[in-house]
Amino acid sequence: MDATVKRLVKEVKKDGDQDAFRELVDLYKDKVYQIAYRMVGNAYEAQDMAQEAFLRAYANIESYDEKRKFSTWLFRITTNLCIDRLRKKKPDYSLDAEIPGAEGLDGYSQLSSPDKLPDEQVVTMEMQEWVQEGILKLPPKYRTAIVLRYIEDLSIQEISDILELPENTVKTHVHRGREALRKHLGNT
Amino acid sequence: MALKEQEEKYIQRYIDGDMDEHEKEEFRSYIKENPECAHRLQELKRTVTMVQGTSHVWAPETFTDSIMKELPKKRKRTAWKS
Repeated sequence: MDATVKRLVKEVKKDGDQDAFRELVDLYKDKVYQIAYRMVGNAYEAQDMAQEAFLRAYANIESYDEKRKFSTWLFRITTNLCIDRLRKKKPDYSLDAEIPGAEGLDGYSQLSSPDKLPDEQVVTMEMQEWVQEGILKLPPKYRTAIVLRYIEDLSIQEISDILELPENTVKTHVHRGREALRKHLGNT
Repeated sequence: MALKEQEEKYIQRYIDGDMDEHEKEEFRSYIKENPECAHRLQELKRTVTMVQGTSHVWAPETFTDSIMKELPKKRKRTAWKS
């Protein structure tokens, strides 16, 4: 995989080889799209962000340092684009903020009790939506850390390379995100 | 009741896999005596499992084609002629 990626990148760098670039898109589209989807929270914007990430990667391929992992560079472009987009939107993330009139409302009080539901799948779907909602309520820096750590399954070191942040800062962001999600999911 | 700050730190380090064997053992025997701390650890582990368990999404089928359409015309080595 690494050798293939290196060769493809070289071809794109050399003369903008579009067939080689197409192969790179195919290799990474799902991961890039998934990051974007979890960051911005809807399919329409996720596609927009993911496409833009690839177009920028193509346009700026000269600035990619081949000593680093290509995915690190590509994911950095993706997360930066998504964070910019989130900053321009009205922030709706404030997981710790109290919702007026919602005292005592937690994950379980919003979900129907599982044993009352005939179809276990429904519970799973609702649970997934609840998790996604929790992720979308996280401030962007915690959200990025959680998405890369637990949805993309990347190591702290890789995340630190992508975000160009010290490992300890990444860990703190993961901890805070995890803690906020724990409260959101209301498993008291 | 709130956990002690030190307990919180241990829980986070434990989940991150940042403890050596000796620390892990100590921590495990500590939580046996401290149900509140054990409970918090359980909650956090469950949170992580739930986030990891969210189903993966895939790029739409038309994704690659629509990117290829947006790419600038192929760079040519003879571009200076035009």
